[in-house]
Amino acid sequence: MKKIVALFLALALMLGMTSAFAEGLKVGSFDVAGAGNVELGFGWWGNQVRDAATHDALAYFTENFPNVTFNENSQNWANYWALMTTYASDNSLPDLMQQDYAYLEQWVEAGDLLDLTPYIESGALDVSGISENILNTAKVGDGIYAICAGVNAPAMLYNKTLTDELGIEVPSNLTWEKFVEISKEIKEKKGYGVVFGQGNSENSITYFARGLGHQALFEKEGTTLTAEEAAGYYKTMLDGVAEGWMFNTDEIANVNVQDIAQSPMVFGATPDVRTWCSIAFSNQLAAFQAAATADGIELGICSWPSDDPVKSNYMKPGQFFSVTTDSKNPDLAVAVLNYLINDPQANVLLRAERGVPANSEVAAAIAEEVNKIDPTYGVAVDYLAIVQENSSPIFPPLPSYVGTVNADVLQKLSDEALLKTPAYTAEELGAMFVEETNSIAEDY
Amino acid sequence: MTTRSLDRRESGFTRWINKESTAGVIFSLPFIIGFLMFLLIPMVLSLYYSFCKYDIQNPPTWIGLDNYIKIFTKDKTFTKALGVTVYFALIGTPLKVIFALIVALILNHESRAVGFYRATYYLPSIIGGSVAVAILWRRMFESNGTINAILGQLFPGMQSYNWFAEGPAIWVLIILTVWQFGSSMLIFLSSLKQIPMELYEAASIDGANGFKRFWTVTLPLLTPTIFFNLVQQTINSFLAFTQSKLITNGGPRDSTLFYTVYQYNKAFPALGKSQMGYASALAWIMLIIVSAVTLLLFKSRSKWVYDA
Repeated sequence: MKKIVALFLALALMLGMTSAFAEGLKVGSFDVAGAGNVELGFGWWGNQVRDAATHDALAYFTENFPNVTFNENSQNWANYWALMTTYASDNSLPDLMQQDYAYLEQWVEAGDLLDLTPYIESGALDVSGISENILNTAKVGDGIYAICAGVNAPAMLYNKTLTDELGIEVPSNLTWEKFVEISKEIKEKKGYGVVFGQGNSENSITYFARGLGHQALFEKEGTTLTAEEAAGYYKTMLDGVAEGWMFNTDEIANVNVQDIAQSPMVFGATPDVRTWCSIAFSNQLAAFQAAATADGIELGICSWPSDDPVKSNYMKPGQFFSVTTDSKNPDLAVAVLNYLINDPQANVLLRAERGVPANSEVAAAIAEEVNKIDPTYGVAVDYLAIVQENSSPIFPPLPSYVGTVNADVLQKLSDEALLKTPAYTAEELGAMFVEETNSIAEDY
Repeated sequence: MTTRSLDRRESGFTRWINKESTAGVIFSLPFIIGFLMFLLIPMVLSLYYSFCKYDIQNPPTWIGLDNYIKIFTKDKTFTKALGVTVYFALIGTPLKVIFALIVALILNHESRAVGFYRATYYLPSIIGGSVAVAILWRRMFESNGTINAILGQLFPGMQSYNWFAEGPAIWVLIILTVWQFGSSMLIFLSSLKQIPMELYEAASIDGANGFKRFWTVTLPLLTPTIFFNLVQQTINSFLAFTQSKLITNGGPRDSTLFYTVYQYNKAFPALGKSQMGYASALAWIMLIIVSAVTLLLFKSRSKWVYDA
């Protein structure tokens, strides 16, 4: 009897090994084939291109390990966090979830993410190809709670077909002054406008603050900006609307800025409801270009406008993959994570849509293949090389009160600043920003 | 007599299961469980949370009346959202009821096509609060949507009218709710059928013309139905959610922010911590407001409703 068991075990081991070796998927040291039939949950926010790419990468895993299937949960950015918070409340988060640099810390603090350090030490998770700097961006306290899924940078995407037609050269490091000049010229000659600063995001004002020399906009106790400095930010918007090249609050309500396929840069009947550029991130170039091609538009890429683009711009460990503490199969989830980070074929399928892979060997290995699928990849890589030379260190992960500031303060103030007939002056708006942000930080 | 009592003693379970009240309890269990799980317990919990600071991820902490005090003294968005909702209910509900009545009167004829028309007009109500209609509505009113295309043909210059600007945006939502008049219309139709023909005949003999007959016969006899529709639709208007959340997301500048959407945003914000306690307090305030409005409507009943 013992013999039979031993034989059986040996057989099982061999089978497991053959499948792992024959297919050669990089899943780390865990025996995936022997894990039994498991369905893993995987949640991410995305767009059409990303959803397809992620599905392909996961399907390829299932092809090699038919015992592992995935429950894919793809949402848009806004719904994603609301949904995941709800899952977190009754401990039903998916096994793997996409994370964002800015929000990582609060998820760790809430105890929802698994510390990956033991897996890195045991070799189950191979991070040898990832630089220490990038790895440490997901370090909270002594633990590493996520692995970077791709590196990207803030990037303004613009309608290059249009600027070429007008003979306008857009520099890679765009100053605010130059941006205003180009925008005015385009508005005058072609009618295209600009959507700037709207909505519930801290990105634009953070970029502005960094241009003034603040590495971070938010600290534990509140904002680093003074009321006068914040007034400068709101003045750019008041001026933009007054001069007519920036969309006002009412006009923005009439276009869909949330959905890439319907973004006014790539969609819209007449120039007066369209924009010549979009404030985005470098990894979004692929999705935007996919939507723009239908309209015969070629997109260009440059930095977001700032008085000092070198101080403002930063390399961002774009998105992260985390294993959640709700996972019932953490070892298997880590193996999938290892696959997503280190496997060349997985990264070809993922098309570097989340940014250039953090694993430099993988990034080099897939360049040619990805370029074939997605010609914008090379453009994004070139842009990142420029940013690498012309940027400053990124801000630390955001304090947890920032989400509330986004919804309750930034959204409201930008709506006011972009009004056609504004009710407040830049000074009033700046003072409101500082006062309300600090009071939210204090209450939290 | 003896045998029967012996039978009863035989098995306590058989006796119990054969009792009429047991069957009653078992058959009503689905409702009782549903009522407890989805209504009573959540309500009691939300009442408790409304006195707490609660972010879903961490256990609630008791803060007494703080949420309510903050809502009434500091929260400008609360006032704004309540104003928008009252405006929507005050304009939208009567319009919808009047519209339903007019269509019901038109369809209150015997003809072969009437069944088809009734079904057609009822259709928008079936797909009523659905997500698909909200998205369709947004597309129709967008700058390059159907509505502007038609308007552009009729009135040159209107093709780029901005429906989602601060003024007209709320009207886009009101038009949607008025368009969904079907259920009120059906109720009107059935009570129109119940008005005795003799009354019309008597009125005709007395020399009443079409409008006079409507004014003195139809309308008074319909007042109980109007009352019912008004109460029901008012409550619906106060609790409307999908339109505002999906078509305008409350914007621009909160000009279409329905109370329920504000409450939802507090409970499930796109980013940042949930303020479930605060949202629960908002919900209870809404419950009181809706109850008060309904009570007012019932108080007014004796003034204008004709009870035969």
